[in-house]
This record gives sequence, C-alpha cells and structure tokens, in this order.
Amino acid sequence: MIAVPDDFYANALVMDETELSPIHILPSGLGEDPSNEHVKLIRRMANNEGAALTELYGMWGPVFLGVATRMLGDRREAEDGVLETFVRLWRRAADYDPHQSPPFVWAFAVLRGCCIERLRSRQRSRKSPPRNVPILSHAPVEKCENARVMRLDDFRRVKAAMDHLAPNERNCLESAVFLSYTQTEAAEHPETSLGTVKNRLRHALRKVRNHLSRYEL
Amino acid sequence: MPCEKCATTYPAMNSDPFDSAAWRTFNMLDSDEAAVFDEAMRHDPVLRNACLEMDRLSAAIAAATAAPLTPQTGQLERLQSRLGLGPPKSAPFWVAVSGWAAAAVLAVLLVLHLTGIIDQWGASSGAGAGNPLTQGSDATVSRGLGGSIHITPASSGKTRPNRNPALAGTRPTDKGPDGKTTAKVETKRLNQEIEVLRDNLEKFQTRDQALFEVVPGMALPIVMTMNPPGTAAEDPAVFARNDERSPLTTLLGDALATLTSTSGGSADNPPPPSATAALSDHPTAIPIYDAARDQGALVVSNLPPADDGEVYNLWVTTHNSGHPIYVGTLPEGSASGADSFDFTLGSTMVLPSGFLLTMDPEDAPATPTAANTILQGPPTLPR
Repeated sequence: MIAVPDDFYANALVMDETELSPIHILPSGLGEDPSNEHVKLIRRMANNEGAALTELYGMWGPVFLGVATRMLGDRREAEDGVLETFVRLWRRAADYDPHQSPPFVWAFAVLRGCCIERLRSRQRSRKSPPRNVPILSHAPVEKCENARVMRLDDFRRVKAAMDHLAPNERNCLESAVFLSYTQTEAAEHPETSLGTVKNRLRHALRKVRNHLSRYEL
Repeated sequence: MPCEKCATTYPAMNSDPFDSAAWRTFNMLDSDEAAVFDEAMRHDPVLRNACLEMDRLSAAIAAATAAPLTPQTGQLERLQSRLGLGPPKSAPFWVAVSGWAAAAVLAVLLVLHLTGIIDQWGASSGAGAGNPLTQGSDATVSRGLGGSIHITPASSGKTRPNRNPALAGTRPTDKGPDGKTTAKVETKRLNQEIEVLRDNLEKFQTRDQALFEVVPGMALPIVMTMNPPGTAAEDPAVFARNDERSPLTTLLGDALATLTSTSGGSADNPPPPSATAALSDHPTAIPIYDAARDQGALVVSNLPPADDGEVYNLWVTTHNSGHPIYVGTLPEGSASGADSFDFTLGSTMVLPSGFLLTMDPEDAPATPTAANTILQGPPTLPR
C-alpha cells in the first residue's frame, strides 16, 4: 500500500489551478448538435425553405438578441444586428459544413461578426457609445437554459466552470466574450491596462478549459 | 511564430496558439494583427483548432450567461420581407385594401343605379316589399352642384338609429314608394360612412404620427400610474376621489421631488412633505415612456425591497400583443423610498397599453399572473 503523506490532501486542496499545465485536449462536444436538428434546418434553409428559417429564428432568436444586447449595449441596434445575422445565415447556409464547426457555434460566429462590424462602425462615426440599459442586466443561468439552443449538460458544464472562477476573473472573461475589450475600448479602461486584462483572461481561460476537460473525464 | 508548412514567421502571434485565438475571438487585435492571424490560421492547423475551441467556448459562455430576450413583434416578418420570403400581410394593409375595395364596389353600384340598371332590377324583382326596415318611409337622392350627392330625408316614417354621430341628419327614411330607392339610399349612406371613417382614420394616423416624431427639446410621453392590483384604486368612487385629490401630474411631481430630495437633500433643509406619501403608503410606480425615442423611466415609490432570492421584473403590454412582454429586471437593492430606473422597449413605434411589475424568484422563469403581480397600470375600472 502506498503511503500518502499527511499534508497531501491539504496541499491538494489549496493548489491553484492556474499552476496546472495547460491541457490541449479540446473540450469535445461543447455546443454540439447531437440530434442533428440544427444541421437539418440549415440544409433546408440552403434549399430555400422559409419555414426552416422561421423555426431556426424561433429557436435562436431570443438567445441571439440577449447576446447582441449585451455586446452592443443597445437593444434597438441589437434587434437590427440579429436580423442581419439571420440574413447572413440564410445566404451562407449552402456553404455550411457541419464538420468544420457545430451549427450554433457557426451561427454565433456570424452574430459576433455582425456585432463587431457595428462596434467598428460606431467607432468610425465617433458616436458616443449608447448607455447600457441598466434594467436589462444578467439573468440567472436557469433562465438561459434551453435544450433547443444547446444541450442542458453543456449549460451546466459552463456554469460550473464559470462558478469556479474568482469574481474578477469571471467578470473579465464575460466582458471579453461580450466584446467589451475590443482593441479600441480596452484602452479606455483606465483601471486595468491591456496587459492586466490579458493576463487575467489567460488565467480565467485556463481554469475554464481545465475544468471543462475534467468534467468530461 | 513560425508556420509549420511555409516557415513564415508571424510576429504578432503568441507562443500559445490558444492565447492568440482568444485575442482574435475577443476582437482584441488591431486590424493588422488580425490580418496576420487570419493568414497564419490558413497555414497552421494547430492555430485553426485553437480558434475552433475558442469559438465553441465563447459561444457556450455567451449562451449560458446572457438573458434571452423576446424579439419585438414584427421582426420575423421584417426578416422574411428582406429575404423575399413573402411574409404575411399586416392587418392594417388588409383593412386599407378592403376599405378601398368596398368603396369601389359601392361606387360601381351607385353608377349602375344612376344609370337606371338597379331601378330596372328593383322593379322586376319587387325588392323591398318584405323588408320591414323599408316600410312607411320615403327618401330622395339628388345630384347637386359640382357632382355632390344630397340625400333628402323623408318627412315621415320610421328610421333606424344612426350609429355614427357624424352622419346624423344625413340618413333618409328607408323606403321608397316601391322599394326602388332603398338600394341607392343604402348605397349612398354606406359610401358616406366609409368616407367619414376614412377621414377619422386619417385624423387618428396624423395624431399618432405626432407621437413618433422626434422634436428637439420636447416629448409626448406616455405616463400612467401603477398600483397594486385589487387596491382601492379599482373602486370607481375611490379611484375618482384619489384622482381628484392626487392627479397623475401631482404624483409624478412628488415622485420626482422625492428623488431630488433623496439625492441632494440635507438635514437642515428637509424636503417638503409629499402629497403621495400623505395619501398612502402603498407602493406605486409611474412609467414615463417616450415612444419617439424609445426611452423610458420607471419612478417607483414605497416599493419594499424584494424578498430574499426574489427580484422585481417589469413587463409591458401593447394592444397588438396578447401577452405581456418582458422588459427587464430591476437591479437588486432597490431603495424602499423612491427610485428611478431607465428602460427601453427595443423599438420605436410601440405604444404601450400597460405595464406590470412582478416579483419572482431570481432563479425561476416567471410569467405575470395575479399571484406575482405587485403593481399594474393603468388602474382598471370595473365595468
């Protein structure tokens, strides 16, 4: 029997996860479409079936609008951004390759591209950034869970991983996901330099990836 | 970072491909760095995989942390229209088309009548003989100067009450000597009624249009009071008395005065007593919404802090929506006195018909019901 040092578990409990070596195993399955429902709808869209677009809009529209509102900070502009996203999804449906990325991930990338374009356009026109809508803030994760958007298990995996972060790391990661640290805006955060933000993000991402990989095991 | 295939070095890249992919995904690279990254990604499968992993992760985090929002009514139709998918026509369009179609049909009937075709048809069929509405009455129709039509009421006989006050005095008696005039009088009456309704519609549209015009320095806000459901406000007598003693403008002024005093008042200079507080201690709220700019503020008074684990949610109802639409969640720690919250409805050209404030568990989906509604407005009078 292998003797375990007395302080082994104590040390294990206080071990900082950032000290773990980076895991280069992809968290497989995250955002996958196991039922193939999304892929079928996209294929129908490629065949110019308007009903498929309607169904996909009903499925992804609310979550996309929530994401775009947080990215742009303006719900009216977010509505337009979501509309533009679905127009692009419709036109690019024929080029979609399910082997490249899962449908929701592919569509989210399109949405993010639309939002980035609008943020850049806003920057070019020197418009004052719209105030964030304070009454529309975060929602409990339970309100976000929708099995038709993403597997419920994926929601829980991500929630568990995010709960594992320190508050400042979690805020930093969420801000980055919702494009608050664009190249132009990152410099406008006087309290944190870009280097600090990147370091914090690096730690947060490593923790999340490690946690997700462990979850799979 | 050297490319595995072409050995080209991409200086903007980090040694960790995942870091580079993260900065690219989060839009933290400038345009030159982003171009270098995209070029490198074409050659480097490791970088491509890192990018895919980052895409998956950011999509999952976004979906798991952003509150879903119901798109505005009509967005799907806009999308379908933009893609040429033949969205269903809106109701106002059909109303307009059917109105014009009805006017055209009636005009044709009138022309036919004036040329005597209907008279001949009426004589041959003996129309009107069995119609109780056309008995004992008489009327004449004549063409006046400039082509206008004058309808001369008959001097005797029973008439149906005219439902449109704008048409009072224009309706003739119902029966001609042999029923021949019935059709033409009815045609004329309907034609005029259509014209009056169309005029009214234009007036309403012009009036409503003013609500949606942005005029610098001015707004035509929609303001209403929100009270707890089932309070005395729903009693017509009490409602009228309260409204007399404390009309909406007074409530609003008091609420704003309270806000000002709480933010800038001092012990030496206490705020004036509020008529709102003097009247009642029950919670009230006043939503003020500018439909032209899609900007609103919710001024709440005497709203107690939400229970542990519960939050206040604001909902809006419109004449077009059958169910309340979620507007947002009030930030936690709302003051028990007066407070103000900004909100938007996501689109101009929306006229709220009412607002609801509910208290729901923070971690449970909510739908406004009688059980969880804390405030609702405007107060409804019992029929």
